[in-house]
Amino acid sequence: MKRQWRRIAVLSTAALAGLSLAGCAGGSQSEPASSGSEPSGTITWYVNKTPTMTSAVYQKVVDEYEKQNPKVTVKVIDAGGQDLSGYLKTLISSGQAPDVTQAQTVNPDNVNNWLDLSDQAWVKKASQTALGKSGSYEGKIYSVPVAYQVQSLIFYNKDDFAKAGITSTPTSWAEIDSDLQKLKQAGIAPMASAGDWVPESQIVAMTYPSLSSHWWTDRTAGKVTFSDSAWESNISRFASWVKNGYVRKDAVGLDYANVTNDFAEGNYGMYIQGSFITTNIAQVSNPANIGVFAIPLTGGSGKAPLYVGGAEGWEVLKSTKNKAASLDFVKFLGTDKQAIKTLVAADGDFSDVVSYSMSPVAQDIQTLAGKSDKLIVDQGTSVTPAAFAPMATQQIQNVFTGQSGPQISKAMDSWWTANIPASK
Amino acid sequence: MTGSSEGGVATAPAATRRLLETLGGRRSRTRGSGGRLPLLPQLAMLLPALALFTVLVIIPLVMSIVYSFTNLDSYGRVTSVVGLANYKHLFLDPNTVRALEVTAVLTIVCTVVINFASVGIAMLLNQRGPMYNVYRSAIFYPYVFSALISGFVWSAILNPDGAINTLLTRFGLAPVPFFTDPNLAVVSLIVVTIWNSMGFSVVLYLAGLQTIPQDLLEAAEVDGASSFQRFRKVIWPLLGPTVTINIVLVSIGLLRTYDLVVSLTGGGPAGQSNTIAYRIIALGFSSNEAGQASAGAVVLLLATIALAGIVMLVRRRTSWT
Amino acid sequence: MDVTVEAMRTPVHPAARRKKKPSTAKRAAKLGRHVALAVLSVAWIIPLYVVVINAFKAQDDILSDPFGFAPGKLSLQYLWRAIVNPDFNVLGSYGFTAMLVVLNMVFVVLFATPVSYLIARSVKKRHQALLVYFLLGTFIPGQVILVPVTKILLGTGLMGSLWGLLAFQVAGSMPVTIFLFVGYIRTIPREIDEAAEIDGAGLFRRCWQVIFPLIRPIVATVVILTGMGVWNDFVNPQIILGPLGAKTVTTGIYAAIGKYITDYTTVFPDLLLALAPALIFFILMQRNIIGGLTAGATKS
Repeated sequence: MKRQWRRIAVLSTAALAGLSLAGCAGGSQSEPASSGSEPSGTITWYVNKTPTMTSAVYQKVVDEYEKQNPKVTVKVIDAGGQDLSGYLKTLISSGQAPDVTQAQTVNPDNVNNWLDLSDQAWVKKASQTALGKSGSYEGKIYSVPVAYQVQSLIFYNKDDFAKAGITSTPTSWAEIDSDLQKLKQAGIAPMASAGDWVPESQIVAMTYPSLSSHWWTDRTAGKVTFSDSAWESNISRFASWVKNGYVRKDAVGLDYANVTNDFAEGNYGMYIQGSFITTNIAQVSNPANIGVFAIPLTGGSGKAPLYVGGAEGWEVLKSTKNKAASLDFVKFLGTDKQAIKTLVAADGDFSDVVSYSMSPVAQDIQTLAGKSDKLIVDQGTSVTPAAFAPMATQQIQNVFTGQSGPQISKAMDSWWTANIPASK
Repeated sequence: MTGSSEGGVATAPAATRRLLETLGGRRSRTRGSGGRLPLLPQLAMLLPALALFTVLVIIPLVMSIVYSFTNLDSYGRVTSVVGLANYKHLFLDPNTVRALEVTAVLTIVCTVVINFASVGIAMLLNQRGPMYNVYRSAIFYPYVFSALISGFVWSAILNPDGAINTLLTRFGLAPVPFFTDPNLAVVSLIVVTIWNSMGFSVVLYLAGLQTIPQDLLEAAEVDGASSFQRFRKVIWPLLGPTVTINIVLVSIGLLRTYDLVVSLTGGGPAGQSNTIAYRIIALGFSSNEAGQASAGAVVLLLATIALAGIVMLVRRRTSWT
Repeated sequence: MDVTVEAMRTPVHPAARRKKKPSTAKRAAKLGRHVALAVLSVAWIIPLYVVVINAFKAQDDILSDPFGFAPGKLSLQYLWRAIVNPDFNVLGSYGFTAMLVVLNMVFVVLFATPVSYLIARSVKKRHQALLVYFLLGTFIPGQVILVPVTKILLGTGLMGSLWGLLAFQVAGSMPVTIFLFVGYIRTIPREIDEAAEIDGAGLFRRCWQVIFPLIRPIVATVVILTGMGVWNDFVNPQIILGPLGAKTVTTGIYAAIGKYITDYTTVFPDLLLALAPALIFFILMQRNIIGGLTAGATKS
């Protein structure tokens, strides 16, 4: 009898003790800096992990920073299996926001989350270029990309093209369609695609070069719609590729990394992707002979600009408890040549700030970039609405479930009307 | 048995009586304490569970209901009250409607298949012999795995590069689009759910069958009752209450299917294999529509209550208590 | 029961008591039963077989022959690599999840027993209302309250901590646990309580020293249900512990496999490691688990 009492007493005491430790047991995201002019404490860095941007790459940058600033500890976190910006929202709304994050497109919904970096000395200098300005919104600078990626590219297998009797790279969608047919006839899998975010990013790559730089502002004002623009043409085109067997009908179930490696090893004729896959291609054991050409205009004539996006830009969260260390770390990421080079080389980016030995394909892209106009979408006030990407990712996958271009575009327009308030 | 009179409830079978008592039936006073229990010990016994439950379940429930009438965004900010707009948006959104369809199909098909099959399998298993224990274990073991991991396991087996499709292509057959065809994706969810959870129902019904006195069945057999009659008159009435409760619990659990969708199909293709729980979390976190997510959550809650109510009503109507 | 008495009173011819050779129909039925159950069992085991067999194969072997078992080509290296992988500390997640499970079991029983005793033994209407109040919880899906719960945990400083997760999990276990406990306690004769009361035992003592030892079977049921539920929980640790929190087996494997299911020589060993504890536990404790889960259900 007495034994049970004792057991209960011990358990209750343990419970009370445990509950009183609750505060201490809480995971603290960032510790405030101790007094002193050197940055110190702990900060968290939210990054995008990909097959080429691995923990090792980010850790290398962190190690270098911590060596120069021994009082600071940087913890790297990522979205696990989830969507990068979606998970960031989860973290912010559950009070676990990181201190520094990969730059997110700034829009009216999230603008209050980021710290204004305009008064930082290095920012003033670095934001003189068009690229450097692309992280600004309504006059305030929230991030400064130091590199760029080229997004509107079609990679192709040179040997497959030769085998299919294609003598020159296509310069129009009509030529691309006919080349896909030739590849199919030669027994080659014509066009690669994958699941998750890939179909939407491919449509975006196909479409953006044909949009004006203020397309999103126009859409909000109702001047343009998805259904009567390059969006619909390209979605229809993609749907026809699925129907004609140029794209695998089950591609939406394939994994991006697998497909990219497959393409790099020579199993597909063409692949719409961004310049970041050049690192994948270089890392594969038996890379095929890969070339690249630019995505042509949709409708109209003339040379399409290259759709580029800023890369290696970082934002500081307003909610940070360690502003000093966060700002110092972001300065490091934006100015330290070694750090930039590590990130840029792993991500296959292009940068005017650093140079590194690029793979042949990457050099081809750089040559291409030198000859073309560059288009930077999502800048100033013409930005993609926050909820657009998840919605579009899902809608566009319907090219694989038998829906047509007009159907999908209409669904996107209906969503827009129901959810995005029209501008005055 | 317990010395107290049960009033009008006394004539119902023992199992039902206990159930009804548990749900708040009347009991007469006992001797002794005379109904006056000391207050402080009472509070001490109540408080931990009550406080924890109220603060972390009931209050959040009320908050969710309130949020569903606002335009809460994913960053946790509320700027205005929008009345029923969220609910309207929800039902106008084809993705959410699809999610409700998928959830309904999944719940109904799995509940029916699992319960019917489990009774049959339990009857097959209700024999003596060492092999029967092996069979029972083989059918039950997936129940100890989480839905998330079950989904990853089956994903490795069913996806376009997975075990089954590799085998099919090796024999020159076309691969089956388990995850890339919208309807097959739902079928995949159903199959894995059954694999994962049927074992519990089987074991439950087996235990129920084993409490039916053998003598009763033998006597019925001696009296000339056929297998089917034995089932209908002896087995089914005694198993009935267990079946009802299991149907309610299984179907309520199925309404909340989320983990499996994450790992098996990711809600795809094109969100065509979303369940409502998955949609709620997607709306609440990845999109900027947490107010709608709350509305979806309230709908899920109402559906749960309605489902339990319907099942109990149907069973009472068919008077198998 | 009358039928049984009648049957027993009817004299049975001694000769009939000798074991008869089962009729052909009965033998066919027996064979049919075995075939059906064997087919079902094999089908049910195949997924496990696939995971186990492929956890020891090279990528090419997995891709070319996913169902094959070639002893010469098996290797432990992939499993070892998965165990020592710095991105997913498997053994650490076992330990952490086990601790979470034990804490849950302790607190669930600690909190639910007194309140169930009170409700089960009370005649007051308000206590029955309390039971209904708790039973409301069975209808509330976790997703409905997850977002507000994170706000509450944030406000009390418990977000991101083990205690916050524990509190939410224990709170969620209250409805079913209390339901099972109350049902079971009500089958215990009141005379026992009354005798203890006459002997001078107060409410607390009656609950813990007299009744608690008697409800062991249902406590076993609850312990198993709670344990399994917590071990396999995904959403709650994912959201509440956050990216910097410790990883449970489920959140750990999700992070390890996540979006990039590229490398089957990582996926299958990771899955095997994730399944192994539950499977081993099941094999060792089969009888207890199945008995525990059904004891409470059939008794109540």
